[in-house]
Amino acid sequence: MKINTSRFGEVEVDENLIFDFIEPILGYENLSKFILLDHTPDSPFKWLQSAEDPNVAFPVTFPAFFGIDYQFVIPEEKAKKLELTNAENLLSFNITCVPQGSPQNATVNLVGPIVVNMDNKKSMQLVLTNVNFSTRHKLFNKPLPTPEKPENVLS
Amino acid sequence: MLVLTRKKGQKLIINDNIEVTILETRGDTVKIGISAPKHVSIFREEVYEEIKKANKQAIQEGSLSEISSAININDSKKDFTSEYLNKLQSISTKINKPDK
Repeated sequence: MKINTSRFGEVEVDENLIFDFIEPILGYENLSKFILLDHTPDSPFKWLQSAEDPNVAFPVTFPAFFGIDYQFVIPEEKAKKLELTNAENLLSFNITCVPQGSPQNATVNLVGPIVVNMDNKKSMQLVLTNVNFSTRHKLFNKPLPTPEKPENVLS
Repeated sequence: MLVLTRKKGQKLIINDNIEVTILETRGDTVKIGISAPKHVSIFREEVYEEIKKANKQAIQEGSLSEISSAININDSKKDFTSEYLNKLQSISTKINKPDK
């Protein structure tokens, strides 16, 4: 089927790859169908794109890629809701906030991971109670190498 | 909304299995104890609000081309996580179009 996106235009999507959010992404309770858009192969970043609202797309990544020590336990009743039978089938990633003009200050939300049961594509945004997690965990500990852009002016 | 007045030490029972106790009041601060079955999630409202805010901001500001050009993917923990990336890729929709 075809999905309209404001970022990439019309995208052809395999219906088996549409996630069904049985618990919402907070603030977007009216949207339940999402797809994961793979823009640049090999990139640790993807777009979690709404299949219902072309304008809603979250940049997502997974913290381990950046060396962030991140583990959580999925509550039993949530696993049940996802009909998760095998932990191997659980996939999680986190919404990322990339400030315009300063990608080095990108943050990742560790409190509300997105979890997906790969088998049936049932998904939800969890709310974790671990007090050590932040909704704005810095993605990069050390400054990024400055991209080669001579016209770059310090702000 | 149901509004009830309670005194210190008094309780509310919700749905037979959730017990809310007013433990202490001091000035405008109220300390509350909650006993509930394990499957009941209890959060401070701020946690929800914070996640909502972070979600919203991610959409408004997201600019992946910038960050992609700034990180050296080969330098990252690719070996460690390649299996995971493959898994992610297996449920991703591939597109071959420029970012507008």
